[in-house]
Amino acid sequence: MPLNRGDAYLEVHGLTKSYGEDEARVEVLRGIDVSIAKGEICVLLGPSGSGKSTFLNIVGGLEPADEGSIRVGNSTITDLAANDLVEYRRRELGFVFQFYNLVPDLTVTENIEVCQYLSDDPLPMEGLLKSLGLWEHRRKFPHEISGGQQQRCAIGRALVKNPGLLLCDEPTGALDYHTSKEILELMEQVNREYGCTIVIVTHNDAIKHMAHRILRLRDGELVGDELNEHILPARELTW
Amino acid sequence: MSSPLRKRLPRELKNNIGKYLGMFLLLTLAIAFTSGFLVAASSIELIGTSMRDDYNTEDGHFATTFEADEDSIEAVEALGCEVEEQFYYDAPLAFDGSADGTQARTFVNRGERNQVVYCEGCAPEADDEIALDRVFCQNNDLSVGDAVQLAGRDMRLSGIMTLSDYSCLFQNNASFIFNALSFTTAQVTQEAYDQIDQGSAIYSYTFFLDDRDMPLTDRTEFEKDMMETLADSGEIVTDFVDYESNQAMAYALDDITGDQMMWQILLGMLIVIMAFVFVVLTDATIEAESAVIGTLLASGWRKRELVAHYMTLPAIVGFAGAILGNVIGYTLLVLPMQGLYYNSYGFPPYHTTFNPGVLVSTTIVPLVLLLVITFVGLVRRMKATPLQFLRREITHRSKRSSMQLPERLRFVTRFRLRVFVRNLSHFATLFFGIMFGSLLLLFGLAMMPLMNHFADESAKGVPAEHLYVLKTPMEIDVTDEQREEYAAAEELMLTQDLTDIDPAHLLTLYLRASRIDEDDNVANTLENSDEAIEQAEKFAMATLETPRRFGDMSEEIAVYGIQPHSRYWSDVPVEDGKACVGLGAQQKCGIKLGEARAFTDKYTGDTYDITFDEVVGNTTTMSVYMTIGDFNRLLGNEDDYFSGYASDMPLALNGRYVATEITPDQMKAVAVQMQDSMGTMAQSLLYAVVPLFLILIYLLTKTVIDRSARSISYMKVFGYHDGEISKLYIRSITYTVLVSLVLCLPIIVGVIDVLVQLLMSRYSGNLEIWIAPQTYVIEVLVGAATYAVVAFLHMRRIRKVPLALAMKVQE
Repeated sequence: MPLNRGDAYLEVHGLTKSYGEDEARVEVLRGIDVSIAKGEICVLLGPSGSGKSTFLNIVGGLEPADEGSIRVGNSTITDLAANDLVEYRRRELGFVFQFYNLVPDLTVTENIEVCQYLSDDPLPMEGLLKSLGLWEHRRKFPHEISGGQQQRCAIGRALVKNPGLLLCDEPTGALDYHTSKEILELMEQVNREYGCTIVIVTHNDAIKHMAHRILRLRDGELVGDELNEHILPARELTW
Repeated sequence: MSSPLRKRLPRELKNNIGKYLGMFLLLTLAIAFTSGFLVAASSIELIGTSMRDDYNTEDGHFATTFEADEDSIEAVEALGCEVEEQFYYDAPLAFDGSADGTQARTFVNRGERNQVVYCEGCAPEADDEIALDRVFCQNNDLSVGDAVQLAGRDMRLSGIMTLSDYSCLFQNNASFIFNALSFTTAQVTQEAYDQIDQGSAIYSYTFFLDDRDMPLTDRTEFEKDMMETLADSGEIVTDFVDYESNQAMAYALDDITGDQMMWQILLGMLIVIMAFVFVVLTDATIEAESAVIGTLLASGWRKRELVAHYMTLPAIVGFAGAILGNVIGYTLLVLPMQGLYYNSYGFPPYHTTFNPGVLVSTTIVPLVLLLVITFVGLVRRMKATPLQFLRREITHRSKRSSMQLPERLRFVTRFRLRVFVRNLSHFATLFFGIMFGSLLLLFGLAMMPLMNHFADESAKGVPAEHLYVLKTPMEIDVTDEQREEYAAAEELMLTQDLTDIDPAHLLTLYLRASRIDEDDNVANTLENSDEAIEQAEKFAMATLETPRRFGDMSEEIAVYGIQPHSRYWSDVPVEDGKACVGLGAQQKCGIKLGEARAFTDKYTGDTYDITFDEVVGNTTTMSVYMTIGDFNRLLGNEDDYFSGYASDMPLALNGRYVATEITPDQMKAVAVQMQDSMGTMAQSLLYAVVPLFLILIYLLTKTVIDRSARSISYMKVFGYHDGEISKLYIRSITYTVLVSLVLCLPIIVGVIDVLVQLLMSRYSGNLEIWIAPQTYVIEVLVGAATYAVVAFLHMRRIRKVPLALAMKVQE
């Protein structure tokens, strides 16, 4: 049974998704039901091919669902037309990718400005850069900073719009242990400071300890949905 | 075990179908058009040049007023040639739909000399049968069996033929244009010829030199000896034409040679463009495959194995394009291309001759270029380490892209600047690509307006409404007595049997003719008004040669001796000791003012130095000018020598002494003929160029837009609208394309100027590059429209890319 904490911000009902046709048809998500409260950090765990990324893509409005509904805040995104989905991503979402996906010839500040430009009420740049620990590096280009700093920049880019929902696809997947922990601490700080809901897709089981909610996917089915009673600060995580 | 990478080839082809299809079409079309034309042209040229041996064509011919004595002919033959009668009769020809004044140059059935080629039907055997020229029949819808009337006699068309000494239907060698609509050659039996001959036959004799390879100067001397021998034998020669200056024999081949030059220039341009595209595509492949290459190298693959793999598709596509291009060229295009000539010129039946030179230049060179460029590009890029490939660090990150931009600039402005700076090298590539493409397009678009302009300028270049060129100085300002004296002499000369004339009249004629002062110039036998005589102006003219600026050929220049302060050459300020050169002649031959330039008489080998003081006229002015006094001193003529009249009023002149009459309309007609011969080529060139331009722009913009595709996908994920993405990315590319289209114009015009000069180095005359303003507009519009189509295709493709894919893309 799904467990809820506070008002549901992200509500998913009967979500299904399959690829291919006839005999080649593969059901990737089979009727997912989940509710995530505003301000929660939710970790989505599961082995490769379990449907984690597809779930994230559908919630992010990048792929359509076959069936089911998704409500984020006041919007039922499964009912939205393509243009409205753009508006939804613009207003409500921040994305963090495993490989940062920074624009290589924009400086750190300019990369963050890419999303600042989209918001009517963006976060102040200076404060954000300082809280991300990037103030010293703000004029550098991606190839001039480390992987961790690049991921910080990517988080800054996602956060600057002050989104309600931050979707992170393996945000530490390309980073070493210490840098990964730094990034997780940053996310924890972001959640605390800006109050955004964060969904983290990861293979790393240890990350679940910093989450308020832990979801487990296997073969497209939600096999676990639990509230974490013993949340650990990110700095105390080990793996 | 075969390379497992082979399995990737069909998928690589499918995933990059646009690129490979573009490359395939570029090669196929370029090879098809150029080989199609050049094979047809070289085959026709071979047919044409071998006619001298294959069809035993003449080395020249002459005509006499009356049938020449056997002794005269023997005297000429004793010089070292064989002479054969080839009398003809220009008889009126009529049939259903025939044009007024249609004439058939009627010969008796030919034998071994100047052989005839029958395309349909057979030689006339009955007295009421006739054979006519193929091109004439084609233009007049005549077929074997049709009824015609020759000099009022009913005849049946028994055969459609081509005379080997009339590949181009010039009725008169001095004519400016050929006429295959109301003039034809014809053959009939001897009996039929005798029946239609009404006493005005042309007594033409063909000659065949014993030494057929005699150099031109020796041949000129030989021909002079022939003329003298004939004169000494009492023959009056009315026509004498060497085969090289016989337009009916040489014009068509000259045209084909010139057109081949035009296509070879196009081929050269295409080869440069293809080389450029191959470089760009090879780089794009390596960049796109960087991660794969890095992974394979890291896994232990050898660089040469990867080079071989990445060579495979371009090689397959290249060979397929080369084969298909040749198949299309030799099958579908060669006949329309040969039709361009066979519709105007009479050559023996066409057969394609394989030309290894054409195969090398149209196929082997582009193919080898593709393979070498791809190979060198791959080997050069493979020098990077596996890690560099994995990190996508194979492209040199320039300092420009790491440049700081003022933060006070708006984000959108900075972003666009970044896009521009990042893509600067790609934009430079695009610029050069657009330049090459536009060069191709403008070359095709500009040719017809250029010809029209040339026609107008040529007409302006004729100084008077009538320019009469004389065979010998003939005075028009003469007394009635002088006129009567010359009329008498002429009557005597033209009468074959003097006993036919009344003795009293004969005596009168003798008396009058005997009063002629042989030291004086010939007097015109026809009368002109005082006004006409008053306004007519004498000039002297000789055709001399001087080397062209480009190439190793010489240009024939008309050297004019004119009156100081001439009313007709009013803008040519000659005076004794001061010579002027036409702008066209100066440009084409690189003549410098103040420096002596040698001019040669190609028939005598005599050389004359002329120093010029001023440039006159326009770019089509291919003449040089001096006073008539200076002219006669330079060429060693009598002081009162002249060779023509310039006149705004028509003059009545004794036709016997008129070599030709030039009018502005005739000059326009020459240009129209040039439009005809070069224009059809330019038109077919345009058909070849437009699809090639489209493919080129497609390939180049595709590489630029593809490189931005990933960033565009990110933007969409972040929530950017298509309009905003267009503002940030596509607009920069669009501006670059539009600016490139405009900015490259001056460069292109310069290049076309050189190309046209190169082209004209094979033709007489000068063709200044002149591009109609609307041609520029059309060129930019076609370029912009092409880009719009291409950008639309690219954007549609990018729009279709699932956004989820962007999430998986590794930086």
